[in-house]
Amino acid sequence: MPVPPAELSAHFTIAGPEEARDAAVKAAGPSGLAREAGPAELILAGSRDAVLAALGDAVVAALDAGAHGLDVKLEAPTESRP
Amino acid sequence: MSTIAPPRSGIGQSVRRPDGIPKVKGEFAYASDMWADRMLWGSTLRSPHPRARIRSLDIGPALRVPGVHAVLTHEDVPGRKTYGLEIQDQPVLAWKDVRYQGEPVAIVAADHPETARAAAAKIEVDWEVLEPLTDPERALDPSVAPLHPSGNVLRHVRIEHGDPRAAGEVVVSGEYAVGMQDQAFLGPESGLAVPAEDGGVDLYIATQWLHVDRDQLAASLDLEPEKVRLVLGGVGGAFGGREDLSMQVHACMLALHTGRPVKMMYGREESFFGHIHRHPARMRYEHHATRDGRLVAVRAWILLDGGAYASSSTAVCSNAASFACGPYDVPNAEVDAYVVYTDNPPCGAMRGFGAVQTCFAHEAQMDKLAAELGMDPVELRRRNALSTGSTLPTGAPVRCPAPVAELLDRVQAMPEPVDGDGDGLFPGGISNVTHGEGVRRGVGYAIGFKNIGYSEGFDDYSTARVRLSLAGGEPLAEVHTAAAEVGQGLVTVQEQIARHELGVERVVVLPADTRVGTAGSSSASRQTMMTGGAVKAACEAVMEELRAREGGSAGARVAELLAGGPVEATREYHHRQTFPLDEKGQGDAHVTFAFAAHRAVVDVDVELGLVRVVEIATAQDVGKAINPQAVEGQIEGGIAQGLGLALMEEIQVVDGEVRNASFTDYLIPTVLDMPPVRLDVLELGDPDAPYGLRGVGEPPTISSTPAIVSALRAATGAALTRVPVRPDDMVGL
Repeated sequence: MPVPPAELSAHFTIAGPEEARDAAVKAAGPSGLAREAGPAELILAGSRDAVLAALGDAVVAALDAGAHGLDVKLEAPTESRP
Repeated sequence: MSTIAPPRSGIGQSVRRPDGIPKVKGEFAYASDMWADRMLWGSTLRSPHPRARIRSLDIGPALRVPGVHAVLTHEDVPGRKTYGLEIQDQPVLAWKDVRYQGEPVAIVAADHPETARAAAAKIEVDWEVLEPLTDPERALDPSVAPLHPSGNVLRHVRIEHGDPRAAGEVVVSGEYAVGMQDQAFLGPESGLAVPAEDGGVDLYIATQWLHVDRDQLAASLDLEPEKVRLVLGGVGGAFGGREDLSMQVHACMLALHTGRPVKMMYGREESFFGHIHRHPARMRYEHHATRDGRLVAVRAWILLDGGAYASSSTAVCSNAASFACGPYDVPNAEVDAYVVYTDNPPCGAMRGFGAVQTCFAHEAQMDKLAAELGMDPVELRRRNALSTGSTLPTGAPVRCPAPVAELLDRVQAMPEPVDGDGDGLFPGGISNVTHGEGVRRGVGYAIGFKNIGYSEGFDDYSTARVRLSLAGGEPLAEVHTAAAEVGQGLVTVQEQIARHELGVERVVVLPADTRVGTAGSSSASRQTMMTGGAVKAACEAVMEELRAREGGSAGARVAELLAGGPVEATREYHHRQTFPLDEKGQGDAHVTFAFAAHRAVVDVDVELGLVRVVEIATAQDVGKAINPQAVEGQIEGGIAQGLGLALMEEIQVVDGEVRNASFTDYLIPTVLDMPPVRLDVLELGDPDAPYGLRGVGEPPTISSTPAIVSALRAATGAALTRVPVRPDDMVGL
């Protein structure tokens, strides 16, 4: 059974060493919102506040681990679940 | 329009289905029979390992095979690289990690299916094989490395009702397990993708839900949804196994890449790896009651193995929790239901959707409690029967008819087959292993219930377009929906409703496709209610327009009114709003329920553990039997699937590897296994549903399994806490 899209989703691609991607996963994982979306790609989906908090943690972790670029796309669909 | 003739084949009549004879004669065109000029064939390279990492992938050797037109990997996925019904966590094609045996890695298009298969086998993958996580209890351990970034627990649903710690004078506890059942639909996954001139694609596909397929396809193909057009192919059964994507994106990628039609068709073995299965479950129960047999409390711990990807697991988990206590008045309850990721085959929707697993456990517990109390097990159930106005453990009221006691009464009142009636049939059949010596008879009862339609706040609806026109001087009604006829008889139901509402005999149900609004899935026992409701509403709108045309000329014939041109209406049918469960599992999550009771009579050769199911008796409330013969078919088919789970159907997974991916080794009941079914169909209308009807398809599967196992316990005295029951369980080896 499909569910309505989340209130906010953040799709981000990490440019840099594999360690940067691993660090982002490790930082975002405990939020319960993270899933892989491709090589060096992650999606965080959930309530706005939770996604933004997890995204911040993941970005900081990726940069600290040597990421030299992050491409972030945010989507806030009109029909969504909190 | 007083001159409208009453329909001869409207609702409530056993109208013959149009696909019946062609299917029996082998003339029905299934999706696997489709063909197009210049068509290529697709094939899939799958992981042989339940858990591994791809170090490198070389498609060169496959590309060099003569006749090969394309070899594609994750790098060729134009859009979103993952898909999924609830959580998009499943790769279209793996890029690095594989999490189950059979996970797709690359796809090939060639001018012959054997060429495509041979080329796929030539793709060179350097695997780093890893230790799979296959024990769902281990997956609960937070110290175990997660298979997905956010951990291995996909969902935990906790229900607290009344005083969760309440205790009764009599307590019984038990541990139960359910194996991994396959939907075992007879038509393997198949589809034909045809590239279109507008850059889009047309896909002819055997599926359960055209629009959800389309939306996932559009995202992964990076196309606007309007450029992805789906038409339903002939579907050879579904039972939940076609709710998720299988070869849809792959076929479309290959077609768009090559510019030629591409057909993909799984064989039986590949089908076992190509779709999700029923969740295996481990359950621990504790029932508390008074000495006079009133339930005081139920405590349940349920663990579902979701396998490698989410599919419908979160909703299945919610259902398992919702129905964990059975159709009984339970004043206090504490339920913890978990579903976890493992490296086992992904699990998702299957007929009964979480209620099958828990029904096996709660009905075993009711038998155990009755034995402890020295009470008749049917009387114990009757004494605690849920009824209209009862409060469920989720805090929601039961609004619909809930004839639990009446169903039990009716089943119990049916005559039992006479033991030793001289029919010459014994366990073991033609193997002739006994002439009655060592054979014991057992009788068992069970009752179950389940939600109809989608729950927890999902805006569940279906759309229908009805057009009434003149053809050859006589009225013709055309019904157009996207509802998937998967073998359940939905086309016939739509015809019957249109005839009934419009009063015309000539009704054509157009092929289901995405040119009309969504119908939702053919699942959750919902299509007759939801699409039936949409067809009814569209017909009513058409009639309203006709009445407006009638004006002062009362008594005009429909044909006369249509002389001014055809009438067309499109309508949606939405069911009542539902709400998500809160953190204590409370909420009005379900729209309505369906109930069925079963009695099984079995003969067991207690020396060999062989079983003959002598008869199944059942009583089921369907609200309204739109097509009584189809209702009987659904009930008998559902019982066959329940019998299969009780006695033989299980995907054998060892260390994450499937050991029986064939119908030689995965056994399903045949006509020789199916007993006579004694039926009693109640029609207690649900005032909130069109015609009062409720779904039919799932309840027969839910409580037939525990009824059979209860009868086996009665015959053997063995505890039998796991299904399917194996001969050695009964013999005590």
